[in-house]
Amino acid sequence: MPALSWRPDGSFRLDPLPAWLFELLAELPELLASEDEAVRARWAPRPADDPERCADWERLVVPELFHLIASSKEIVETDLEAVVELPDRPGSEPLFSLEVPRVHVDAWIHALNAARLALGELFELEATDLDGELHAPAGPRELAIEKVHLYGWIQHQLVEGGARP
Amino acid sequence: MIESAWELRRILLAATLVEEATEERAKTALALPWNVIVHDDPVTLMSYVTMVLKRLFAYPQAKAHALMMEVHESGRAVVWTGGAEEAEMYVQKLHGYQLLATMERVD
Repeated sequence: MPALSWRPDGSFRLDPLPAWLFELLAELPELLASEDEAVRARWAPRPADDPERCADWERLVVPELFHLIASSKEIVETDLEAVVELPDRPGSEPLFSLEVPRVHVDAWIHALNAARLALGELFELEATDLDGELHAPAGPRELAIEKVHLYGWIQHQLVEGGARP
Repeated sequence: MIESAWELRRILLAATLVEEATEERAKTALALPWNVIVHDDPVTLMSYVTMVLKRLFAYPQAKAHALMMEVHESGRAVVWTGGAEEAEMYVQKLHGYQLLATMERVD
């Protein structure tokens, strides 16, 4: 089971990651590049009932919201490309280690949140879907729920870790 | 048909008064306080909502947690009240954190 370890400099390490778990993390950039209409509507919700305010919002604010997601995606991609295989495991299944510098932590929190929201829209997840016990994924929807939980676990560790002095 | 310079001045004065009344109503509307509201969604973490409220509004942990629980249990919570421009700024920042947020004029 991987653990998230904080370093004194504010960076963190997440390992050991079995290959299947690393692959779930590696799906983050694709989720953050979603062109699905419902996902993008959730990423950029309406600010008010006023149509004029919403039109200004669409023009002035929404591009910035998507820019934030794109920036988080780039940072997550950079860190995922730097994932290393843990040494000294001849004959065993490979395990990997993800290291994230302190300055990237907020981007990971943002990216994990955006990815969870994307999965929520793509699979129309409700609170009741996420409250139940985890079982071995039987299909795409159950796998999506697993990912929401995985990303949520990491995000929660980062949020709580950010509260440390 | 305008029959005298006096009548023209009267018409222009009436138009000015209407315009000033409209501007005054607009200013008054802007001066009315606005609520910034955070809405619940099934996916967002409670710990994340609390973190955002603390960061954005500098609320202490207890207040941020209480507002988060109100969002979670009631479906929405008023997290801030004030002028329209500042309310827009906060909604924009909340959207930057991907929270469902809207602004509504206070009744």
